[in-house]
Amino acid sequence: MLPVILKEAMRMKKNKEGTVVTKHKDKKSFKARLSSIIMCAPVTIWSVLFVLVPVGMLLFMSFMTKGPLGKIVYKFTLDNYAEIFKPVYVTVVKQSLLIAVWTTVLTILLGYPLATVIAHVKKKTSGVLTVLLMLPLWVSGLVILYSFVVMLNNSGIINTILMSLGIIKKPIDLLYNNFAVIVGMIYMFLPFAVLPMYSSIEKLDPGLIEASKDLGAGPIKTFCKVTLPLTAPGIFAAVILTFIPCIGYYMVTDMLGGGTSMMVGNLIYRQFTIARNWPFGAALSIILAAIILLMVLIYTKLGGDLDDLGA
Amino acid sequence: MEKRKKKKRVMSILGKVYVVLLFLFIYAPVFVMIAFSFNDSHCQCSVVGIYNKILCETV
Repeated sequence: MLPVILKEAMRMKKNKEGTVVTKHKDKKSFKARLSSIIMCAPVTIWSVLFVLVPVGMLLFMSFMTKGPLGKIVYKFTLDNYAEIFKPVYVTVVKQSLLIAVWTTVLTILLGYPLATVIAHVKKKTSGVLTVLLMLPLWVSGLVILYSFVVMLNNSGIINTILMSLGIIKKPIDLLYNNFAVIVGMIYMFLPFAVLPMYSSIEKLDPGLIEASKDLGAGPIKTFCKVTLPLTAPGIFAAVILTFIPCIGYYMVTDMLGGGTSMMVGNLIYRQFTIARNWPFGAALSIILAAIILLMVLIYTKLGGDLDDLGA
Repeated sequence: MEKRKKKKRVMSILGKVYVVLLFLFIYAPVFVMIAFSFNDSHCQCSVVGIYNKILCETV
């Protein structure tokens, strides 16, 4: 009888301990969960209040009607989205895509060799070059653009130098055209394009290039077959970091384009300020956001890392 | 072997020149901004004040 009672007592003790342990574990996990919730709360509240709610409001507004004197009439309509397909706006979208594509291609072409040089020099020098690359970003973009106005003017520094050297007789129109806009855009986005490319080139195993050379491939073939495919994620990250903000960036177009070239960003800005057509501006913003999301989705599907985009 | 070394040296010089040119492009607006901060003219292009004095003295 005694062993049975002892066994039962032991089992009960075990059970008791078991429950105590589980309860302790539950308490611990609850505490951990609570602390993680508390830690995440500020960011979550911030994101909901200042990202999700405004985007939701924008989406809601894009389906509303424009009233007289720029007021919003709360009546559902799809006209704002249909209006985007009018020839005038299609031209603006086409032009902004063209400028964005040119800017992206030229930025990548200019930035890739620079990223390669930075990745292949000594660590100390690469650090210095990276800092030097990022340093002009500390200066206000507006001031930089005014400097470009001074340089590219008809009587500006570049034209004066070219004329005094006798290369040109009349000043060339460097300002207030697409050329000036593209130059300004390249300037603004070059550092952002170089950094992801530099990071992917730096990660590249030099042994692979050596192996390619040992197998008889020339420098061009090695670059096309080994370097380029392995650094493709970095290039694609650079493309996204240049192309996406380029479409919506209206400051450069406003200051260096001089009203001759208009991009989607300018159109949105004007809808909200001058035209006071908030629903149409909201519809344009939603379409722009959709294009951006689509590009990021393609990037992640191709195996791109969101960390490289600063996510 | 020597040809390869020569090629490598030329490439490294070209790389350096390219980096210098690109950094000149990046820093040109900053330098212009600094230079014009000492200019006495209200116009964007005419050079008055300290630069005018320097130009007059050199001429």
